[in-house]
Amino acid sequence: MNTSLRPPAAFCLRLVAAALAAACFATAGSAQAQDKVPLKLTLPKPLFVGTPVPVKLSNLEPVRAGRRPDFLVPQGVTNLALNKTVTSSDMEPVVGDLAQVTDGEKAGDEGNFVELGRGKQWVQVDLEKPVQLYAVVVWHYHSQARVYKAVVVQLSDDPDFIQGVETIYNSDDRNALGLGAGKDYTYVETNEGRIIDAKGHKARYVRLYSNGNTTSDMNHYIEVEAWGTPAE
Amino acid sequence: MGHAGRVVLRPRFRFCVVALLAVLGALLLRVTLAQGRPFHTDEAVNAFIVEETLAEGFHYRAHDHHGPTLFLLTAAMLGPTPTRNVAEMDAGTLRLIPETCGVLVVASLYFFFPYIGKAATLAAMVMLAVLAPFVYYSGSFIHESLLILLLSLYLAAFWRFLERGRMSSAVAAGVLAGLMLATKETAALILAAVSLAGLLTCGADARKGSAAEGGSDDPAGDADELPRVKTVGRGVRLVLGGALAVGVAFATVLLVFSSFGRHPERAFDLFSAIGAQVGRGLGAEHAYPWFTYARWFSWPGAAGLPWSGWVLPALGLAGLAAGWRQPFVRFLALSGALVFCVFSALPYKTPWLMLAWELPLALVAAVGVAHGWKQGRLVQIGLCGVFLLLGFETFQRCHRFAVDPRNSLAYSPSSPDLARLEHDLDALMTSRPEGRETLVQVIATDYWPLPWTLRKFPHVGYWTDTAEVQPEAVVLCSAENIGRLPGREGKFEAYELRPGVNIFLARK
Repeated sequence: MNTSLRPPAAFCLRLVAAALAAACFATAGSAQAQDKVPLKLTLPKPLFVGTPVPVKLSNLEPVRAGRRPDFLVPQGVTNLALNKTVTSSDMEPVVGDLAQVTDGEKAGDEGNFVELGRGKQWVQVDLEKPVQLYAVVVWHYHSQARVYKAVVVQLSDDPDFIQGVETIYNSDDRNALGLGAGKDYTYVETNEGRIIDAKGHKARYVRLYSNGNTTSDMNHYIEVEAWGTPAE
Repeated sequence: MGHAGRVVLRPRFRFCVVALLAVLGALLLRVTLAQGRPFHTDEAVNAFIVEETLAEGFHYRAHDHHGPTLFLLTAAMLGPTPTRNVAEMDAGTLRLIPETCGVLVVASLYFFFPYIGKAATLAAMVMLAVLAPFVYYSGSFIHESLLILLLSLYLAAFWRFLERGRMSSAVAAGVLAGLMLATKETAALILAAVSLAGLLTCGADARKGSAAEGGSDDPAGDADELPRVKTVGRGVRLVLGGALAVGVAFATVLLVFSSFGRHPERAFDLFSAIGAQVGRGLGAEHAYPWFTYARWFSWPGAAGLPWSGWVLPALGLAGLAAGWRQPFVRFLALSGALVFCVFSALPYKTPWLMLAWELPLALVAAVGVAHGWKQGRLVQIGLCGVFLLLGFETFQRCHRFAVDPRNSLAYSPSSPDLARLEHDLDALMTSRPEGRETLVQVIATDYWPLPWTLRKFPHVGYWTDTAEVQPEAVVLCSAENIGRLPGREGKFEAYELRPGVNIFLARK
């Protein structure tokens, strides 16, 4: 009788054992997969609040319907501020470079604006010689609807703005800057910029103040233009 | 060819037709003008409280969120429906309760016709149907419409008690007073002022003696017939009835605050909140000068002319002059004046509180309208013109300038910009692998009514700590957190929540 059946039987036994083991693993894996459920995180719920107190925007200019009216100036005026030197109360802006204030770029894109520190700040443009100014135009950050607080624009031949100072715009109705209470409107920034009537005043320096905005305490400038003619 | 026959309506039928038209007009104005108005922060919070009420019953939060009646009514309305959470709620459905209350206020004026006559009652119904403040706040899911409905019914029940001395009227007044207190805490001041006005009016008439004329359509001729009982007996009846009314009011408050016995441990919550409410009324939040209500009521603004603020006082004076002999007219005038004075004296002011004194003022003004209507065709044309102006004001202030912050009725309104945020988030989610299952993190302290805007996104949480930012989450933050969110140095897009308050979406 042939006893060589042992190796095939052993092989079969091993095969069956392997199959059984595989079946066990598969069953275990399947059981684990069936036991899995999505992890549900408890997220913090909103806190109930009372009626919010309205944010008061002092002196906000009423919404204008339609196109901005033309601002009339004498023939031959040019932007005398283009590429002129800019100084500031914050000589190390948080974002950007002061030279961007007069570089001619007025788009509201990221990288085009200068960000000055919190609270009361100013920028000053040196026109290099006294000129006759008819309009100062300013663009703060305008890629979103915001209002810059206490916007004050002054002209002077004194670089320190101590003597011979002419205020041509003042929306600081609460005198937060200490330059006197103004009656001009605060306004929502747009890509049109803000045209300020300079009324033909002669000056070498133009200084623009602000005191934060409705979204943060920071101050921003995209561009300042000074339209005039060389003084006679 | 014969001539056309004329249809002559009986006076009673005419009254019913005009009354029905006023009620239907009230319904139409309230439902249509509220559509599309962004959900106010107060409405949004109330919706979340309704969700909580549906899940675990009403919890009274003494500092800010008023009594249970609005929430229990809304929960009862939603109960038979599958709606159980805010994601399943919509503004139109929730606003049905105050809109219905606003319409019922108009209908409730029917109870006043024995005292002011049919003509004045009809004038009052038309006026209340059209007046801008009543239309505006009827379209808001807040407590005011319900409170004013209860006040209107209370005025009628209270006067009936003073007039007749019936205990059934005392019980009715007590129930209504209790419901008012269970609606809003300011009801305590309103009830005190109205009760004082009633006692002063009755006291003055008791000294003068009674005037007796039959009821008629002529408001100038109408006069209440004061009970011909001995003064002492009447006084005892009033004291007993008053005590009964107070007891019934107390029991009503306990019943409602306990959710009709389901939560007896919460029955006394209103009384434990008295200190907090007094502090709130005298505190710095929503604190305005004494003349603020007059300014909100009648000062011209950019959001349309406040015709009601000029017309109502003028017609009110005319009504007081015409109805001076009627104790009920004097009672209404005194009630309105006392409520106005009390509310003006309190530092805490919000514009919807004006309805409590505008209601009696409008009723007295209606007496003036009815009296003027009898003065001839010219005055009738003038009065029609006045009502047209009131309707125009309602269109301006309840629709065209509904959420304009210059509209004195729109107090901290929500911005229509929130619809843009919802749309942009939807678009952002579709580009994410998890789709709408993406986690949305709001990192801010001032974010309402954002929870209502985001209610249909399944995974939204609210944090104040910028360190909690998750790498794959969509992040919305307040202005002060820009630049402080780890891993979020890209562009921040602003969306307006309310005038002057923005939320920023961090774009990667």
